[in-house]
Amino acid sequence: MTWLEFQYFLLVFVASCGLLQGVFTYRRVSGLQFFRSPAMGYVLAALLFLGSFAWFFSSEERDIPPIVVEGSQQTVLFLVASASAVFFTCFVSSLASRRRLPATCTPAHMDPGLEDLKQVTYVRCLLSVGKGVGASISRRVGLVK
Amino acid sequence: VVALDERLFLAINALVGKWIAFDRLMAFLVNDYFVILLLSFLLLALWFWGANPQERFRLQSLVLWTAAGIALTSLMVKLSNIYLPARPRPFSTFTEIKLLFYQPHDPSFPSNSAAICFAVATGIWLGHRKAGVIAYVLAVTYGFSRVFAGVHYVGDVIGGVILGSLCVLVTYWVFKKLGWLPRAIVQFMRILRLA
Repeated sequence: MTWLEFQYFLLVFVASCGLLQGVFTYRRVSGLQFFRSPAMGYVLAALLFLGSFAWFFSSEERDIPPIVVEGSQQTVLFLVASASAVFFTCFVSSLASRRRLPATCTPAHMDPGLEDLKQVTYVRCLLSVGKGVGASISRRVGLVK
Repeated sequence: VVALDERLFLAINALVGKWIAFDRLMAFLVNDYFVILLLSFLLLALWFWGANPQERFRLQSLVLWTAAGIALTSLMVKLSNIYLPARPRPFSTFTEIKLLFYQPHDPSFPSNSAAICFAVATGIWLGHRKAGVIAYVLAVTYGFSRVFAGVHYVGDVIGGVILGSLCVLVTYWVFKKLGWLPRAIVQFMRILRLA
């Protein structure tokens, strides 16, 4: 990976974290927010998103061939960096919200999807689902009656 | 048609140097990253934007057919670069033009960047009109900046617009016909709590 590709990756990663915080704060997906306060969520989102763009485009001249990131490389880097940002958000928000949100998914929250994360952290939700799937498999193979 | 295309290009490129602030703005917008990044982030935001599972599924289908449309557009541009006669860039034909960008070496027609931007804009517009208008404004601005900066003829951009829009219309039609495909992908992502 060249230095420019690494910088591009960093830009997408940080800006994606900001964008996701903005969207999750607006949609009140508490389990994926870094802060309880919506105001803090929006401020962090703006800082990360605008700051990363300002850093990337003001720190160096970006269009000096042959040091450019080609279209296909941009696509791959964007996909990897934004997916990394999604998982980073899932795990950091789980750490940040572990005290203020319930310990497990209740049956009412067991419907698959992002709706679950409005009241439970990502890691706890996955653990609850994993336990549920494990219990279901155990019942099927006759380990538990 | 070629003569008209060249005259249009020369008329637009002749505006360079008239307003320094506008030149700087165009020189910034024409770069390989900014507008394409904004359009990509718009798609990322739309994936999580829906207020309820039904709206989210609609927007996630939009992201999926747009992504497939981008892949198809890239393939078609690559094929056209192989099989169509390579049109030289404007700066190769008219040495006196004012260039605000580096000199790319790939064929001028069709404009790859315009094709991708309009594939994204059309894909978004098919599923979300307001976001689609924002995407179209970005795509039109980018297409204009490529001509203004001396990198493409107007015809290259129009070729890219038609190619990108057609490709995404094809993937939109395929996704509508194969309704199970977006449902299966979104269902899998829902199990992971990411949709």
